Amino acid sequence: MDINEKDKFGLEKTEDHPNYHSLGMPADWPIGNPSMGLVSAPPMGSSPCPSVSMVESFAPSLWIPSTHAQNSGFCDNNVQSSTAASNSLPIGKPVPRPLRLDMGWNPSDSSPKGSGIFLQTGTGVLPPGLSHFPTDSAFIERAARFSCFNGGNLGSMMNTFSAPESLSPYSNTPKGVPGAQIQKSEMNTTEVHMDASLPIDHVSSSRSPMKEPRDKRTSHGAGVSSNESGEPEFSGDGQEEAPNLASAAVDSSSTGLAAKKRKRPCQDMESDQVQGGGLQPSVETAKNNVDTKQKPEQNSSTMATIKSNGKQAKDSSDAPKEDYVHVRARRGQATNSHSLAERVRREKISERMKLLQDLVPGCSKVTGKAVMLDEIINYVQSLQRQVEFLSMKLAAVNPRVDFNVEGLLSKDLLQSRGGPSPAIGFSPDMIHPQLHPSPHGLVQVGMSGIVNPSDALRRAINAQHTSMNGYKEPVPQIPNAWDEELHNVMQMNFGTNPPLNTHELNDKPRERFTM
Amino acid sequence: MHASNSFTEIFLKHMLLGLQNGVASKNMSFLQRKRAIKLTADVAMAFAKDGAKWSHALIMNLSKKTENRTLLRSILGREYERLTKPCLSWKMPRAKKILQRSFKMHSRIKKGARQLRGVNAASVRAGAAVTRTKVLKRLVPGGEHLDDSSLLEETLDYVISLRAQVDLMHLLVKALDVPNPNLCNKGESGEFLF
Repeated sequence: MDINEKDKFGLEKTEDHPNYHSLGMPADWPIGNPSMGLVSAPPMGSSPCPSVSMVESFAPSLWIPSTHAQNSGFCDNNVQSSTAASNSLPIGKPVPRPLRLDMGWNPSDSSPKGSGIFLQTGTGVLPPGLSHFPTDSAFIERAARFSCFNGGNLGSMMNTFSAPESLSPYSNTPKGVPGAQIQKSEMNTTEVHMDASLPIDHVSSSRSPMKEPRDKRTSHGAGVSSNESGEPEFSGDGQEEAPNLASAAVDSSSTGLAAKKRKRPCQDMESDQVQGGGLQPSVETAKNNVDTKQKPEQNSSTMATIKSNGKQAKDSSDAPKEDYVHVRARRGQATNSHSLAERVRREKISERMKLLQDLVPGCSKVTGKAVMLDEIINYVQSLQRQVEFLSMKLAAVNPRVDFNVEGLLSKDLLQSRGGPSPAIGFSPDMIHPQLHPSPHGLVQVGMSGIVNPSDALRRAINAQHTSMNGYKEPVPQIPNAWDEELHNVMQMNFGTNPPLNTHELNDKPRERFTM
Repeated sequence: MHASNSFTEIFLKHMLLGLQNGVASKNMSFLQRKRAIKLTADVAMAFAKDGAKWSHALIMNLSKKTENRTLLRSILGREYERLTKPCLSWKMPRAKKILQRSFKMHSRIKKGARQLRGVNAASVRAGAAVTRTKVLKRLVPGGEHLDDSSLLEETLDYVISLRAQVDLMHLLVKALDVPNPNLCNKGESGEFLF
């Protein structure tokens, strides 16, 4: 494998990009994608750079860090570092142009098989002298993956991932230490991201680089199996990872995902990625470009690869195509289907309780279902009692008022709705209905709004207005001024629907009626 | 959370309509009047919120009494027939609930035979929630056949509408109560002024 890689690099240095594509991977490389990733990198953008980097990789002594600005070069470095202790190449070279790689990914994504074929042929061309490269396909995959990463110290990343490995000599990179975390998170983000967006082939290829240090233990014939084995390793590795990413990826693996339901995993992963490291725009473009297929399908497929069992993966991959919400088992929680369903139910109920808490006054401090239910029941009962009381009041009022006026009022009320505008002096009343007998002032203004068209009622309102001067609420209105303000007040009344002073009403002894 | 403007408009419109038809210029006793007004208010509220289960249940409950029907018809108009038909979708969950309930009772009886009533804090809490849920189911119209989460949803909706109803009726009272201090001859009108 390594030989093939080196050969590829050498060819690249001498040939053009299309020739590079003609290079294939040896048949013994089970996964052609990683090499495809490598292959795709060079044809993008600047051609000389990758070849240069590859050249450098071949000749560690000739290594020129400054030239190593390309993605492919970067991944070459990684390849080198990961493969051979003999290489003393510094790893932490920033790769500022992931875009190229992403673009390269696109054609590869669209035709993974074709590129795989290319890789297959190319790998066989590597000179035999490069046998010191690791034969792991995972290695290639990781290199490909690293090429996607933008800037930063992949070397440090590599170190963190494969401390005991041959990469340790490369921990001397100047930027290694500070960038380690960032890189790791970046890598994680991109990796998870890539997992989410790329098809299974790419997923396997992307996953393997992460597992590369451990791949020596496991033989990954199939990308899926390698992914599976890599998952727990990845989770173990990810102590320093961005917590959200780690949790997202680790949870999926650690819980075993025996749960057949999943919450849109792509969304979770993507959100995590966005949070995690500030996704490189290139990675995102790659993802966007890659997302030609249905997202849920991809995600399900990626999640399938991440999951421990293929069978379960199939179930989960089928699940998102259906129409209901899928729940992922959280870390450390039972993955029994019953408990999951119950958890969903409980979450729904708690969500609604929260809404009710906002609605029922004075329930912000109350916690616990029973007390909350108590409050809700009390509130509903009090509201119902108020309705009865008010209907009784209306019954008392009714015989004295001509209901034709009501028809007029209703028409006017419905017509006079416009933009809400603050009424002078009455807004404080509306805002603090509980502090003082504001409803009267409120209602007074509102009533005046209703009354607007009717002269008789206006007179009555004036009368009542004067009679209610004893109340605390401000009564600034001159009857003439009401015409303009009534509309506003009515609108505000209906627009805000402030809770009237229900407590006051509750205290009234007359409110009690036997029904 | 407040009721929407359209809800309030429809509510008011139908309330006034019903009041005009049902109450105005009719010789009714005070209690009859009060009942009619409440009915009008409830129907108007339920009609304004036609998407919720409780509204349908409320109208159905009200229409069960024959004396309400004329008023209902006048308010609902064309919708009367549609709204007073029992919602077929309820019957299935109802049957399910009955089965579930009987099953629960059965299992509870079994458990009770096995163990003494364990004074477990969690179980006490759960029991308290259960009893209160039952009370709430009785309060909210149509809530008996709902499961917990939809019951809470309906309660939410119902509370919002109730609040709007109270506010609106309050406004109406104040609007119509205006001439009382000056025009009222009977003493009782004065009682209702704050």
